Amino acid sequence: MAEARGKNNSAYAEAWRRLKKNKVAMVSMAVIVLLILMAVFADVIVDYSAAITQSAADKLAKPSAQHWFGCDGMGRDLFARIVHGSRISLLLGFGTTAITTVAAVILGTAAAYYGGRFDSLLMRAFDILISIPSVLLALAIAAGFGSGIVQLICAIAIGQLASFTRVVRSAVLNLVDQEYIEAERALGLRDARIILGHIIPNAMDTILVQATMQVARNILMGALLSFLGLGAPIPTPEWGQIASDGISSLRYTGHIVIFPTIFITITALAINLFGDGLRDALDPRLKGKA
Amino acid sequence: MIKFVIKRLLSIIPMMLVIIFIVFALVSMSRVDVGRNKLGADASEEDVYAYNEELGLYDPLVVRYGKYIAGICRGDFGTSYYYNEPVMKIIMGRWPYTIILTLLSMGIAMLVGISLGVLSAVRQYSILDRVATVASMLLSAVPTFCMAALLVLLFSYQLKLVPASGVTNGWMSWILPAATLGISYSAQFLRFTRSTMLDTTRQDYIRTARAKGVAERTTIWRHAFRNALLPLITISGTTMGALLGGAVAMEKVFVIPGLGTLVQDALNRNDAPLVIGAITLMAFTFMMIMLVVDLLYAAVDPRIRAKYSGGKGRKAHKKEAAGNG
Amino acid sequence: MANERELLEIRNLTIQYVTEGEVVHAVNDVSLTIPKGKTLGIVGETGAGKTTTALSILQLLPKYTAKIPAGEIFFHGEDLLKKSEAQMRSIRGGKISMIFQDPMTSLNPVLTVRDQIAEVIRLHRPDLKGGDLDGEIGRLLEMVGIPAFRMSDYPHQFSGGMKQRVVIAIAIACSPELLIADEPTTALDVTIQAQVLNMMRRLRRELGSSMLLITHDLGVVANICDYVAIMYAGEIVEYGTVEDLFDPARKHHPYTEGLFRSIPNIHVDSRRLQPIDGLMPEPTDLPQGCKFHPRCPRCAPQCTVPYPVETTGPDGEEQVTQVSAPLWAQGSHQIKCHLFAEEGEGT
Repeated sequence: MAEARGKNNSAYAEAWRRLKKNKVAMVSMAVIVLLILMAVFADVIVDYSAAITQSAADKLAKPSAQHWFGCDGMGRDLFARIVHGSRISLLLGFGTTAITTVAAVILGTAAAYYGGRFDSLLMRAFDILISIPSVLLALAIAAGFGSGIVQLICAIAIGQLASFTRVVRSAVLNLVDQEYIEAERALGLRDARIILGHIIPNAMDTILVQATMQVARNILMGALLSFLGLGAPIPTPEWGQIASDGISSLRYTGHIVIFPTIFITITALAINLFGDGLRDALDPRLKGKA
Repeated sequence: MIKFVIKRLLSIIPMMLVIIFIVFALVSMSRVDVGRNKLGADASEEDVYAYNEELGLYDPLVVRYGKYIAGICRGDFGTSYYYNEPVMKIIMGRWPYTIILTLLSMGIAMLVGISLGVLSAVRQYSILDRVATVASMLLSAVPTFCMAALLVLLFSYQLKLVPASGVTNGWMSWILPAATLGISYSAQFLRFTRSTMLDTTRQDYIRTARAKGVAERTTIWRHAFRNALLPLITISGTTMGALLGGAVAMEKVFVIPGLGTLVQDALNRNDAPLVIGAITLMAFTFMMIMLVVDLLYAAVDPRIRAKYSGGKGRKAHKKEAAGNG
Repeated sequence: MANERELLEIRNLTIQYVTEGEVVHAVNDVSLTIPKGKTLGIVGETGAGKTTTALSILQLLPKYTAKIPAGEIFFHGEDLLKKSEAQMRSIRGGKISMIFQDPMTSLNPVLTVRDQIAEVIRLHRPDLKGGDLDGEIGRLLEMVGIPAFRMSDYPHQFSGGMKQRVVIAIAIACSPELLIADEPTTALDVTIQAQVLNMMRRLRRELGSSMLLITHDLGVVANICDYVAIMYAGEIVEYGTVEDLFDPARKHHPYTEGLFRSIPNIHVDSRRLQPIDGLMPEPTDLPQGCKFHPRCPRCAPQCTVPYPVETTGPDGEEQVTQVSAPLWAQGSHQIKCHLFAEEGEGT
């Protein structure tokens, strides 16, 4: 990175060319795009009412021509629930990551660039935050603020903030030590210009890769917390919630668990594989390292 | 070294105080009327007020926190609203289940993950390596509770090999929960061990060992693995935290009466003292694990050991720490 | 079979690294001999194939990528390339040992110096045990100038120069017949370099070992070596005694001349150093003919094409093989260049 002076457009074009050659990454990207389209056009694909309408006759119905994925314990169409559930599941993944990323970049950059008391105080605080397992933190938040989407997003975001900030901080710390940053400081450039013009663009690779992986982690965490009953209020569909419902009727049928599991797994897998490809494309030297 | 252990133990106290405060403050944000809940809708306003007053619920947060800490110092973690019993007594009855599940799964995760990770690294690009890599990718994309459900479906309902839930069947009832949680988290160990081992086996001192005529097996375990242990120990600590969270989900799937189900039930019943007590105890457990991790680290790495005992190795270590950024 | 006077003889050794469709031609048709009790220096730029040659003697090349399509390495008249892994293990660290370039990373950070020296002694001198073993480790450390009481220290407690002394102690622990030193002083401070080199020269004499010294420092070669091989792009372009090489009056390969011109010389009054123009060719894409011709100031048309030589094959048949340039030889002095070959073989 010694010679890199902020990735310019051609560097990203080069990375994109490398990424395009990576078949696994491109397939993963296609899958992610399809899933996002499914969430966006959920209402076009299947009416929301199908996802919440209960029908005693279709209780635990197996997959059929009428109900592609069958029905759940309350006779609601599983396909409709999964299609509409993707909205909240993906929101938990992408939305939460967006919040965490912005916060982590601001905190991590400030801590690394200015150092001193703010840095040590923040790191001490995060040491403590990290020593509360995130599921427990989410439970505590739910105890205080009740359960719901907003609480869930907060719980996931706070739980991941500490480790993400550390990653950003160490990436920026490496850059601050570089001579060209010192030279710019010596030239009297304003901090804001150095940070926005040089440090953030150079740390962008690390941030992008970390954020991508975070999306998958957040989707899994969201599913887990939904399963623990901290998610969206009934009857809003969400993948983790659907699987959770399925567990109670596992004795009779497995399909209610199997379908949401497949969707969660494919989503997380595609994001992780894309993240791997992205990392290799941005920094070919890292190839092969986990 | 003893001085270090004592120092490290003492450092847990302020951290625990902060953690308890965070949990306490969060749970106290609840708008639920404890007295009304307890006494029912028919109780008079005055009775409800008196009940809450007696519990000290109208005191400022800091005062309540102070009282709570004072209670902990006397070994009193408060009284459960729901059970009307000391929180500590209830927790201690549930505690062993969580510990058994966590330790069993951690053992499985480390055994499977580390051994496969070392094998994959040593035989890089072999079929075993490829299969293990794909499997670990897949495993880390399946939510643990979904995997648990699928395994129950297969082994309990289809094959009828193991019980689907409960802890009444002796060791048989632990097989599925521990295996699910263990295998699920072994993926992390596998990938981490593999990449660390690939890194250490490329170090110069490995070449030195080979140039001495040391056998391949000895080179891998005595030289490469011993150095890979350092980052592995660190990751074990944090994984244990995540695994503790996973254990909460496993308890729900398999209906195990551990701390996880206790917290969830307490949450649904707005039983604040029980929630705080259980979360505090789990956080404390996690901190003790991190302490053990630190000690293990020192036992394995002479550079860290030298730093702790303030010996002559201090300078060299500092230099290296700076290099690592 | 190999000459009994020679401890090590490398014949027509070729080594390639094969990765993802690329073939790196690291060592090309190299032949070398190291007589008993003598020191051979291999000089060349980074990437000339020096380290690869050294590692191939101990069979320590990367398992998956390195291929040896041709060549033999005779040690005591036996081809090391034909030995099994177990046989090689008994040779490594015992009869042949190696000192590596970077002492900071060559020692295992989690084992004491005592353990690391003991490991090699246990393998090759199993009769030494308990107190005798510790006594021997202490003696070895004293030999390399480290007080014996420091044997229970860890590598991080030593400085770079001291670490290299420990590495040397490991290498000489079993009195090897051949000591391979791969740029042993490059990573050290200049003041320490001289100390370590003098110590190595003394130890070599005391043990009566032969040594293969890899370096890019001609000063070190003049100081320590008996024979010198100049390596360029995986080939040996000039070989001879130190006297052959360091006498400006004698014939030299243009690359050797370039090397000498690019280092300061107190006997010649020159205003500035003259570096060799250009860069070493990519080892994945070596030029035809003489590998040096793109940079050679005396390049002629015949230098750019392979040179056919008639050789006698293993079954006694005459055959023609292509080499990069003809070999000129006079006594021990050999140069691989068209310039001299035209004057006739070994006049």
